[in-house]
Amino acid sequence: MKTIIDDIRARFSVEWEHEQRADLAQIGVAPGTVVPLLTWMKLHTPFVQLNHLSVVDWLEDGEFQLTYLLTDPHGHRSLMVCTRIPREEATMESVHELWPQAVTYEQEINEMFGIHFPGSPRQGVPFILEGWDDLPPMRRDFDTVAYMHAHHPSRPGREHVDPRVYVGKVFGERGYLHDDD
Amino acid sequence: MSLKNTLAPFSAWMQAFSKPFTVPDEPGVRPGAPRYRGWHINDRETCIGCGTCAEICQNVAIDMVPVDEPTKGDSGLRPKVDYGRCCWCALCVDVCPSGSLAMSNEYVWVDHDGDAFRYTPGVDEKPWDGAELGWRKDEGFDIVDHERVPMGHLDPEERIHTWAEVVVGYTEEEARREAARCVECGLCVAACPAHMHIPDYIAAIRDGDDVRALNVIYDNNSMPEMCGKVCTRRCESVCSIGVNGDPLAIRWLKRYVTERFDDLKSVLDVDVERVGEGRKIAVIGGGPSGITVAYYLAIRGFEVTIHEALPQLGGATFFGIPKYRFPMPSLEKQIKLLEDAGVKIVTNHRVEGDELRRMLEENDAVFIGTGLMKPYRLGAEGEDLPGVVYALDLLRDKNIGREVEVGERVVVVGGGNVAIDAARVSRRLGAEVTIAYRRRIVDMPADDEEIEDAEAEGVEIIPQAIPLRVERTDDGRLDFVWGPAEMVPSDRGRPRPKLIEGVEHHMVVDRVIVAIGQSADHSWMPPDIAEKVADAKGWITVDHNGMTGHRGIFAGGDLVNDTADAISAIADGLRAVEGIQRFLGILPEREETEPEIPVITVR
Amino acid sequence: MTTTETLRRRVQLWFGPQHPGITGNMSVQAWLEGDTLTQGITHVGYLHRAFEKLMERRKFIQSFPIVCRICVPEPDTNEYLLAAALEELSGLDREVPEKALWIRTLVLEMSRLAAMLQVLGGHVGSMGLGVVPNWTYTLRDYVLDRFEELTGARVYHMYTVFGGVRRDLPEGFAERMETEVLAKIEAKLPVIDNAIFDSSVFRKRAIGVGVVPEEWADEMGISGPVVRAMGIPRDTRKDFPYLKYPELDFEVVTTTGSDIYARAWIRRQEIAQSVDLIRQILRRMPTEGPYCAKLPNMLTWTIPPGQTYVRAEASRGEMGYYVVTDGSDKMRRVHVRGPSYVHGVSLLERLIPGTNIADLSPLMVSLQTCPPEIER
Repeated sequence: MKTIIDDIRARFSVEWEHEQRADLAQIGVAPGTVVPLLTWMKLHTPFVQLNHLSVVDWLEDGEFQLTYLLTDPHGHRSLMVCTRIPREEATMESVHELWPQAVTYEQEINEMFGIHFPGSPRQGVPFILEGWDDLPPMRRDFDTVAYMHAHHPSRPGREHVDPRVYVGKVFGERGYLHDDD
Repeated sequence: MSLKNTLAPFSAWMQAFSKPFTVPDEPGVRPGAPRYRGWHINDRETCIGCGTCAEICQNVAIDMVPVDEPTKGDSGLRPKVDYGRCCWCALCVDVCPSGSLAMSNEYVWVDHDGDAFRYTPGVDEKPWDGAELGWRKDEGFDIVDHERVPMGHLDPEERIHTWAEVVVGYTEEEARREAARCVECGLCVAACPAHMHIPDYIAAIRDGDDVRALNVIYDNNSMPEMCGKVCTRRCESVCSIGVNGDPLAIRWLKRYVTERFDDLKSVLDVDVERVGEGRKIAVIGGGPSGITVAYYLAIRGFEVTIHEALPQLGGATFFGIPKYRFPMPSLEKQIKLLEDAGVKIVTNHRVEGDELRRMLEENDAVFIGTGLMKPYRLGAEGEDLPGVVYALDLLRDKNIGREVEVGERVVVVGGGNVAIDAARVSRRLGAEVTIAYRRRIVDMPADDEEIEDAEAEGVEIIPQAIPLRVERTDDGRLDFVWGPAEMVPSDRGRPRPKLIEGVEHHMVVDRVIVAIGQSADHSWMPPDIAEKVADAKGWITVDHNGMTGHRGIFAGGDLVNDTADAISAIADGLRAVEGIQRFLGILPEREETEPEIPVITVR
Repeated sequence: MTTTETLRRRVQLWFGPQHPGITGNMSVQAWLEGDTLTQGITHVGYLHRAFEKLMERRKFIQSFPIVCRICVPEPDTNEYLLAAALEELSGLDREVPEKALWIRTLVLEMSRLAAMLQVLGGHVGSMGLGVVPNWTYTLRDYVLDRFEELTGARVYHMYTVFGGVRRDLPEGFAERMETEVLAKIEAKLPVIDNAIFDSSVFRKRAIGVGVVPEEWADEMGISGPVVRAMGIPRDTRKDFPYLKYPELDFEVVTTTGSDIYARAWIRRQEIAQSVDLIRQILRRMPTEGPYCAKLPNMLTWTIPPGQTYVRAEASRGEMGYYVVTDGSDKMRRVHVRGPSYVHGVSLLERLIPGTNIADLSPLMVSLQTCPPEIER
């Protein structure tokens, strides 16, 4: 794995690298580096397979992380290429011309995270959802519980008593450092 | 297309003569596998209502519903399962700390009413109650941690030569790991006399937020560092994790946090109105109850003065508890907090004569927390001989710095924490020590860990030993004579010891230390006041505000409660903090209504 | 308009979402000219339960009962992969006991066996030959009987968990596995061979149909029986060894043709292979020792920040879990990569043009599409 990362470093600027396992390395690059790097890898290295494309929402940092998993199907090893893009108006270059199956990944990411891949054929076409008019649901600021209560009310008659609160009330648990206790 | 390919499929017809695969669909024909995950069963008696099942349920299928009266150690709530949500993962069974919840291997149930599929196992009768088979908790798989992070102790050989603290204390890493074992059920809150917010500070410790933990702790306990070292920890006895494992080390966790901070005032976030400005309170007795009253009233603007007969505040935690359990710097830190809160402290001042009457006139209220200072007498011949001493006196003399000498051989009579303290102090003074106790070791009121520690230090315990008399030997030592006892059933619950007549054992010792309890002494009060405060036997009863029969006199601590431990004294103090404010009209009188049950209507 | 012109008019047809063949609830929006498909678009979402999102809001232990639902016929791959990923990120992987590794291998092979029995029946079932599915589903049921005995449930086992498995192997399990399952399967296989592989109907409908070109294999990441039917010996169990597979004696089954027949044949061979592997596992499994590591309190368990991708060979091909942790008690992200994501969408859509409408069902079955793993 070291060799391939050295090869990459010779050509591209790598922000960080990490060896997770003997058969799995991870590197971080700038968003603009991703497509040139992936193109080079597909054409000139054994890492010809795009196994997986995924997004992680780092809401606190205001960023999305895109993770491309490339695999060398004959050497039996994988490389995870990670990049971070701003969450606002998130846009990323498409890789569908390198790998046909990327269309589906990019379509789903577009639907679930609201990241736009200009030029990718099925952007804006519903994949899993139908008639969705809320925040892209895989974003971390989408509140699943609130959505559930709004759209799928619970069957009536469920009453739960929290033991921790109940015991405190029944036995007269009080606080004395704050007036509002 | 070959002939074979045309004919071969017809061999399937042969199957028409083989035994059918299918089984008849009749009830009971096909029982679930022995560990099948079917309908829930629950043992109502074993269940402690901790709600951990509801907590772990990822489908929110379990509600805790009130079924029985809440007691210490049992919330009285029982899990009710909504099978519209249950996914039969059985995590509730695997997590159940009491082991009461299980699943039967029954899986067939037809009902036209959807709401029927919501029932309280063990409470609502079902045909599969008591099923022999089904998913059960298994020893090899545990999703809560039943093993306590061990606490370091000084080596027994080493510690009998020092007054240094025996318990080493948790490191930060150990404390976080121990805190992570908590399931936050809150049963401990009921058992703690002061109802400390135990799950909340444990959670704060786990999250690495010690400042928050300290604030949660001081919210209703102003002497927690003492409790962190010597508390009788009723909380741990009801810990749900303790039902089938080691209870959370609640005491050691509190100790960890309270030891982390030196300047308490700067860390504590006090946010109360100074409603007591211009009012004066006298506190007589500087023990845990008095300190509690003083601190929580002082931060509310009351002008509080504590009167203490001994040279140092702390009460029994100062003069009674040996320093290897509760070192002086810890106590001083707690006293400093009082001073910082503006409490006036008068030490070496025993209130006597008409002083109480004067205090009542000069103050808005008086709190008495003078404790039990008069030791019970042995009631055996020879107890006034020189060399027969009371444990309380011995411990006090040692703690206030007097020279104490016990000779080479000591017998301690008693089985409580005071007896153990006296024994371990005597060990450190260089004596060979024997404890003589009337009942069995399991009956000893002393803390189990204290008993273990004493034995590790070489203290010998003779159970079922009844003192008969003490005699003087020719060489000026003491002959402690005792008789063996047998345990006989008693109508008061635990068996009582009965002397086996005609057998006498002799033990030649230098000191006989008596530690069989103590009583209150009201001789310092003017008799007319004492009459209203205490009954003829000297017992003091107080109302829900902590007020005695005399208007304006509040009381708490060992004087009042029958548990005689520091945390109960603190609880009494807290009651008086509220009671005094109600008495003075600052707080509204408490409404005597049923506590409103906080119900969360679903989820 | 002549009759011929009418027939040649383009017709749009929704194929699904009710079970088309046995691939579950998805649908293909297909365009036909006569009875030839000119284009198809895969539509999923009918089984979307937002598993990945749910798991971001649940503690690790609470996520474990969810993942099995990502593939009904073969839940255990999901359970194993979630456990493997979180064990790797938490360092718990070093403490998984030997016996647990063996039991996990057993469970994975059992689930592969059950799934392949199901899909082999589906192969012919989708062509209208109902008798073979009756047999194979019954044989699958025998495997489920053993699952019920081992895990406490027939379909959603919820058995493989962080640190090991939830329960020990029951007494006498190996014997019952042999007599109640493996022997019965072996006895039936020749009959099944007669009814499928020697059947001129099946041969006519399967040979040369749904051919996947070999050059798609690498770039698209095609895996499982589909890639092995091209003659490429690609198998995660060999290529990225995990659990006890490196210690087991087996060869990757391959054949040529890359058509529906070849893929069915691979599955038929792998059923026999699974039977053999299960025997090997049961013979070599230690009888003593713990089956699960000592676990911390699962209600407060946190895992340091990290990310990983773990994979295993499901009956359909390579299944992978991408898991990101952030130091909290929940996963920051879990992304399930099932083989169907490629097979059932990009690959299927590329294969559809030119296919006869009657062959669409057999084609989908031969790709063994599992819709819930596409939409998760």
